Amino acid sequence: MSPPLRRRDFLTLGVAGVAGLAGLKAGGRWLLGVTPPALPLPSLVHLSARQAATVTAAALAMVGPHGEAAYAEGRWEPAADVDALLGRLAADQRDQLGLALILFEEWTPGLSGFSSWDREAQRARLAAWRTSRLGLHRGVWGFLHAACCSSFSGSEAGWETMAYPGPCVGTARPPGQTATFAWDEVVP
Amino acid sequence: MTTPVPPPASPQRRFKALVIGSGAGGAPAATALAEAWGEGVALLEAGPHLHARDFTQVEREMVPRLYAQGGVQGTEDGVLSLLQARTVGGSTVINDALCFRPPPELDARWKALGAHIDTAALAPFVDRVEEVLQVREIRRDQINRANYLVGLGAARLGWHGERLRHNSVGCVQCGFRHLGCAYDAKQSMNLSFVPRAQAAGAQLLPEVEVHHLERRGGAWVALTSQGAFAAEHVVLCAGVVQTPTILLRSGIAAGDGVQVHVQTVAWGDFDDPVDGFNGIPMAYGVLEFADIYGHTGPGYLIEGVAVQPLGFSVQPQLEGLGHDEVLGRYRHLSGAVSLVRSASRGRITLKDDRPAITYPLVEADLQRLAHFYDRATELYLAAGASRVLLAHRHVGWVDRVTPVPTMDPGTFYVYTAHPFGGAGRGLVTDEVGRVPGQPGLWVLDGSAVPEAIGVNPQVTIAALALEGAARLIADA
Repeated sequence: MSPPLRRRDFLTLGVAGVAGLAGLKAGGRWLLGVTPPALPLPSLVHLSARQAATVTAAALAMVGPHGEAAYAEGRWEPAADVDALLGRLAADQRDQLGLALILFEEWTPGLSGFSSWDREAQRARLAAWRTSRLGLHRGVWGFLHAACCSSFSGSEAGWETMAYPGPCVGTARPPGQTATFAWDEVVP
Repeated sequence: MTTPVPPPASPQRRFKALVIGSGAGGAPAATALAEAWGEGVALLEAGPHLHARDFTQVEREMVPRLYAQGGVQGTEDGVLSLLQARTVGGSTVINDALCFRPPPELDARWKALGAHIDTAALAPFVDRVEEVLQVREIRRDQINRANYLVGLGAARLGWHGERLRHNSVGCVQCGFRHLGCAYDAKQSMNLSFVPRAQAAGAQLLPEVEVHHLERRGGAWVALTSQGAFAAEHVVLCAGVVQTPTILLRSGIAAGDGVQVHVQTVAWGDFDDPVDGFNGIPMAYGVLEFADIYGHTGPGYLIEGVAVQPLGFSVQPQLEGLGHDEVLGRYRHLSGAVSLVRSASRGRITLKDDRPAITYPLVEADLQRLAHFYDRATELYLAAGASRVLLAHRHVGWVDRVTPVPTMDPGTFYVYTAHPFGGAGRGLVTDEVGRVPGQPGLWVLDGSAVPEAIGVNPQVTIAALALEGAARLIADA
């Protein structure tokens, strides 16, 4: 599928602007903001309570058991991170993203919203949108994935999951290589 | 930024030359101009002036502070993420410090584009850049295991690989180059050319964001977030997104001809810990598939790459595999990144006064990315990886070369840290960087480079800026 065709998918669905967030930064590498610690949901600036619920549910479904535990312990608040991320977007991009979150939550007429589903059903929805033929689906998944997973990996709870030791400056960790290896002379 | 209402430029805000942007182009240009004109030069930078003590090595703190648009800058369709910095020193503060001399193939390629470069004539300027940046080869004992494994795979396959060169002095190998060097080892522009410009008399003015330029009474007036500045000469070096944006807002045609290095990633999974987050993140390169320095491949470099957790986790394949499980392998992964010399062409346009970036990937680029996935798989398996993870939604772990089922944009992870063009030589400027019909207006940054050059570009951009500044001084 060519990029223009992908954009037509969005147009067909009447949400052309969602292309801007499509993947909202589906390929985005750096997505987190400086997040105020332990923001209660009412302090969110850009996400409504409903949108925050969508983001939180998607994040927990995507990240898995370590994320569930960190969230339950109050060590990870994905909605606050995503809210900070939205603050770095242009207003039109932010509006498009808000619309996409609503679409994602309410996509299936007659069913309750995504955030109220059980975790397995949520994972099935995410998996379907991840590789969907519809660019809109892939784009929304891309945004949710990048925003939510980077939120977790940027947190200390995420670092523990990855056995990542964190920064060197201001800590006792000395800089430098830790993995040892013998140099094979075949390598120039 | 809202459109500024300009007060008249005060005498303290009148200069002989304004250099707008302090990165790989602006800092050398300001240095050359200040060495000729001293205090008559002002170096304006939209971002803050940060120092080693400010670089905390924590991604969630530094990315929003250092990166353009807080790290979320990308194309309008969301397919391509575009990484640039917004700080004194520009993107050299967040780059991986790799240094390449301009490939001689540029001479013929630029000629075909209607542009001009003479890499032989440019050599003295390249020499000066390398001297100021203290460029040196990365020693064998500085290669971390992640990069070594890239070299090992290439060597076992008989591919041309080599240790790369960098501009870091006394590197402590902390692994955080892309978040600003906390040890003042990396000789980014904020530590190399900018202090030289200041020593020669240039005024550094951080957190001054230029909105547009106006021509008044035979001088240029820059309308900025901090009021108006006037000068006889203006050198635009605000980067591939902002330089065309400023030109467009000023009523000067620009923005076409953007080209990038298209970057995607593959990860080899090894039994023993690799700990790629320690050591020099990018240190080993494979030139087998390049089309520069005499190579005749399809047109991409492979470079070893290590990323910190936040950057690692946004890759699109992870959720489908069980995010937790993949994160658990983080310490065991060695990364390789493509540097595809793109055949696509993008644009910068204005949308509600902000830059809008479009970059539709053409088939030739998609094929080269798919080629990279196959070769990277081959490389890591040769190096002893048990399996390989490709940054593609439809492909999980692979233990043999497995062609990806689709290269639809959006199904794979792609970004660029190397944009070019938008105010390219032969399109917007003449052969040395002058904007025709706009007396005293020059472009001397990556936006003047008319194509993706095929290597990490800081040395080439800096040398072209020095050459252009020398011509400006001669003209004046």
